[in-house]
Amino acid sequence: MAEPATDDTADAAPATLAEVYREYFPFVWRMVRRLGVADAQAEDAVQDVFIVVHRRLADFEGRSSVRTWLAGIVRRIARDYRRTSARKPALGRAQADLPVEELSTGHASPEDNVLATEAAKLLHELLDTLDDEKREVFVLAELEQWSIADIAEATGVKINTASSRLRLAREAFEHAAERLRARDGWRLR
Amino acid sequence: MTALSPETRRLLQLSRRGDDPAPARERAVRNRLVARLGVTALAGAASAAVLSGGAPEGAAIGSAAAKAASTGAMTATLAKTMAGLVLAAGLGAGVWTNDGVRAHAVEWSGAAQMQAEQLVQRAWQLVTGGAEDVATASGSAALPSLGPSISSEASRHELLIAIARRPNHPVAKEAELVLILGAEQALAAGDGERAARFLDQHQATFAEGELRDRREELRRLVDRASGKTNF
Repeated sequence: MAEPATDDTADAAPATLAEVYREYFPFVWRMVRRLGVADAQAEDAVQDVFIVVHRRLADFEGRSSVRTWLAGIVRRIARDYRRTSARKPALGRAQADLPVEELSTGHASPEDNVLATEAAKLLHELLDTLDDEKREVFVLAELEQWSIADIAEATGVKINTASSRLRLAREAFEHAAERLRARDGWRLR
Repeated sequence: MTALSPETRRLLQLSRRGDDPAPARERAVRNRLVARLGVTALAGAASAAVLSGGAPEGAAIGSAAAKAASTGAMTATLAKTMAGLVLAAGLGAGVWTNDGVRAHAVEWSGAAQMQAEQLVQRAWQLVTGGAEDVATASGSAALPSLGPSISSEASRHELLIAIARRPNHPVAKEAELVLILGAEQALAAGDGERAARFLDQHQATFAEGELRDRREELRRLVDRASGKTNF
C-alpha cells in the first residue's frame, strides 16, 4: 500500500472521480495525516480533497501527473485544517474509536500493525517540529519517495529550492530525532 | 544532501505502513462522498473494495458484490454497503454534476439484469438475516420480470421502496440511498413527477435521515424543472 508510484507514464489522466478515488485514496490519506491533520479530522479532510477533485477534474489538462496535481490539493487543504484545528476542537472520529477488527490494513500481522502504528506516532511527533515547507518536501521525498523534480512541481518551486528545503528538512528532522532519542531512546531503536 | 542516520532511516521504514488507512476509514469517506455528491459519482470505486483488478461498471459491479456476498470474504456490514452502492450503480443511469443532471444510456444484458435482481435479493437477505426474501417483503408473489424498459426499472424501484417503508429497518442508510438514487434517475430521465414521488417517500420515511440535505437539493431541482420555482 505504501509503495510509491515510480512511473509517471502509468499516471495517465483519469476519466472519473471513481478512478481517482480508487487509485489515490491511500496516497491522499497518508499525505493528509503526514501533513499534520489530526486523526479525528482526517476523514473530513480527505473528503474535502475529493470534493475538490470532483469539482476540478473536468479542468485537469494532464500537464502534470495526477498525483502531483493531487498533492497540490492536499497541501492546501492540510494547511487549512492545521490552521483551523488550533482554534477549534476536532469533532470527527479518530482511529481509536474504531473496533479492533476494523484497524487492520490486511498486509501484516497484528504485531506488525502495532509496531507500524507506534512508529507512525513517533514520525508525526517529529514531523510536527518542521515548518510547513520543510514538512511537505520531507514527506514527499522520504516517505512517498518522490524525485526532487516531482516535488518541485508539486510544491510550485524551482528544483534548487526544493533541494535546499529538503536538505534543511533532513537536518531539522534529524535534530528532532536526536532530541527524542536522548529523551526516551528506547522508542527509536 | 544531508544523510539521515540509520536509526532515523529505520523509523521511517517502520512508519511507512503506519499511516495506511484502515478499511473502515476508506468506507466512511466513500459513504460520505456518496451522500454528498450522489451515488453514481463513486459507483466505480465501490468495486475496488472487492476486486483488486480493473473496475467494471454497472452490471459488472453487481457481479462483484454478488461474489463478495457469496464467498463471505467481506463482513456483512461491508457487503450491505456494497449492496447499496452496487444497487445504485447497477440501476443507475443518471449522473450528477455540480451544474445539473445529464442522462446516460445503460445497456443491460440479460445476465446483468439477473445479477442485479440477485443482488436485490442478497441485500434483503443480508439485512433480514436470510429470514425472508425480498418478494415476501414487498408483498408481491414473485420478483418482477426484468427487461430493459423504463417500466422494469420502475418496478425495481417500487420493490426497493417497499423495503424502505420500514422506518426502523437496519438498512435505513441503504434504503435512503435507493430512494435518493430513484429521484436522481427519474429527474435525469425528465420525469419530475416520479422524482417527486421518490422524494416524498424519503421525506415520509426518513424525514431526518442522513441524506436529507441531498433530498432538499433534489427537491429544489425538481421544483425548478417543473417550473414551480426559477432558482
